[in-house]
Amino acid sequence: MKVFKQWFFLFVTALFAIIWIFLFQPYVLSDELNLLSAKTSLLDEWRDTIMWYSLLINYSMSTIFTLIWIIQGVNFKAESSRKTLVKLKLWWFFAIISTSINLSFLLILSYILRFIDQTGFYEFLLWLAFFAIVDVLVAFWLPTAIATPRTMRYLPPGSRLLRSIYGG
Amino acid sequence: MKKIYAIGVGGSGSKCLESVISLHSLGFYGQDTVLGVLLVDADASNGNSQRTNILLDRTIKAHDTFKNGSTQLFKSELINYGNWNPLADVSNATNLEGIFNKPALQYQTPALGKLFDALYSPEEQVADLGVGFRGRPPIGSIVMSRLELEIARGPGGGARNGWQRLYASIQDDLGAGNNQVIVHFFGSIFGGTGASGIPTLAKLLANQLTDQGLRANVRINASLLLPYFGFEKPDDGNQTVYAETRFFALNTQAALQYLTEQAHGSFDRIYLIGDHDKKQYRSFTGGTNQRNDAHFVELYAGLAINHGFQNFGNHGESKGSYISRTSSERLIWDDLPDADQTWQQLSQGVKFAYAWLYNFSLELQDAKTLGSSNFAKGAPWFQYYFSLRGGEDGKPDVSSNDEVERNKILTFWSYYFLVWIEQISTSHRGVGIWFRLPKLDATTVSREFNPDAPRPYHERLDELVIDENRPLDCLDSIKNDLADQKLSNQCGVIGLAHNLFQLLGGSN
Repeated sequence: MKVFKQWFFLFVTALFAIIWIFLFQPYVLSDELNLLSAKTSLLDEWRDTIMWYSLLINYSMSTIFTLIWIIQGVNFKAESSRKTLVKLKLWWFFAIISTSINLSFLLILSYILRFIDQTGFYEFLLWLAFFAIVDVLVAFWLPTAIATPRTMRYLPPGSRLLRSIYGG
Repeated sequence: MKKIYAIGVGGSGSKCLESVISLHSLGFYGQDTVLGVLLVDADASNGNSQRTNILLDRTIKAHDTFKNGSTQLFKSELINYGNWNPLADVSNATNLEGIFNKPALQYQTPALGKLFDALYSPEEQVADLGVGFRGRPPIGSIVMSRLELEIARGPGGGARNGWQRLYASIQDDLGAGNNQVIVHFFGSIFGGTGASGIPTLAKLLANQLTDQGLRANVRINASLLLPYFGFEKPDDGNQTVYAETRFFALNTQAALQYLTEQAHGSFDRIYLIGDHDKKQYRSFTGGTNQRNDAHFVELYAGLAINHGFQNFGNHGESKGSYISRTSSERLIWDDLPDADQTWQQLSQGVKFAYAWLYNFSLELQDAKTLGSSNFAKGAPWFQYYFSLRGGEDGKPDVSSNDEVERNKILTFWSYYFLVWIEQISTSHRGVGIWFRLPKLDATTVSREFNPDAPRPYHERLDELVIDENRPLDCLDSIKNDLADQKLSNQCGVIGLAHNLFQLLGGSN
């Protein structure tokens, strides 16, 4: 039963990540909410190039590292807790590298497409940089904390609390 | 309630008791069974007896600590009636000349003095019996023959020695209406102490019970070991009286003849067990050095107890049965009596002891070092048995003295149990039988095993049992099962041990 719940909530968190990244975040940066103070005629072009690619990279990186982590969890067997705890370093490595790639991609792409030195785009860049970090939390930390299988299940920070909510 | 009184007579008898004690720990004789153990040996320092005493001591502690768990592990009561040295009850002297006061014998009854000289060589008369009866049944017999008088006087004056305490306990059982009482003797009939002691003690017991009208309510059975080992001449300096392999067949023949002709009414069932391939032991005449490895013949001897309960109450029947191996090259599970049950319970016990000694005990030590909360991140099972906040959540703290002591008790038991089973599994000539275990340092058994000493982690169990058809996963899977499956709610080392035992049984 616990195993079933675990896979179910992995599916739920993955779905949530998709909705969060590809629906909610573009909505925040759209004209409808009008949260952005800066206005420019290049906004649509910026959205079509930088924003969507950046969000896609955020999602892809987190999903790839989540999948690698989950597969590790399925296959991992350790004779002792001490050896399992070594895997915690891998989790942090994934989290940091994922965030770094997101931010680097955002900056590099902005630089190449010459958005970085254009006035009025810093606000957008800051929003995207913020999302690059939040997306790692949503698409990597949340699924791994909720649904890491077997022995590695309590390695992601906060996993014990999150799993106790659904009894996993 | 079943009550078993297991009496090991001599070195081989004490080795059989290792089997009996270990089987009882696993619940082999039934959950509602009390086992009382008495060691009878003239050689108080005998290495075999010492090893049995250590195992018994550690097993009793484990029973006392873990008896209230959810499985049959350590559930049944285990009572130690101690070591009884019949020689000490007969005389303060330690040789035949002194025991029978030869000068007085020659002076008062010259004919008896001459008979004494005719039956026993001068060397035998002065041989030190503090190391046992030196593999000479005639020496043991004459000493044991004096016991009858001495013991019979005992109960009136209160229970003085282990034998008398045991007899008093039998009387209490029968007085309480328990009609499933078995006294089971163990010993060899080709050496000294067992060959002379078992017939004498059984007869003594049967006579005492008959005199009190209780004989019909007690089964007296015996597992008698036929020659199954040999050794070279011991290096005993100038001593010329010692056990010799070449006398084993003769001793056995004489003992069987005695049992056939003289032991009527003493025994209800006799189990004769031997092996044509003689295991070669190092040769010592008694003392701490006489510490022979456990042998599969002794396991068979211990397994006979359950057969003694079958058809309980059919006194007077005369029936012969036999069990033999299917191949002379090796032993397989099917060669054991009650093969399925024996395989299931022994496998479960071995996997449990192995898992505990080489993994869980080390994990709990690690938890103490790393801190519960940190340790639990890598051990999903931990939070179900131990507190993560120093005992504030109602579960015990893994660092508490009680939990540490419980871990030690179970680690001790696991070690001695595995030493025993490892020796059994390597006792067959040329080929391992039933189990495949790493060599444990049996030399430390005479000293004391240190549960805190470093030892490697192991986690694979599927190689342990030979011929197991269903390969078992590793302990990592078992640990996840401990975290995922709904087992008993018992916490601490006790709950963990019983749930682990249950899971290892279920995975067979």
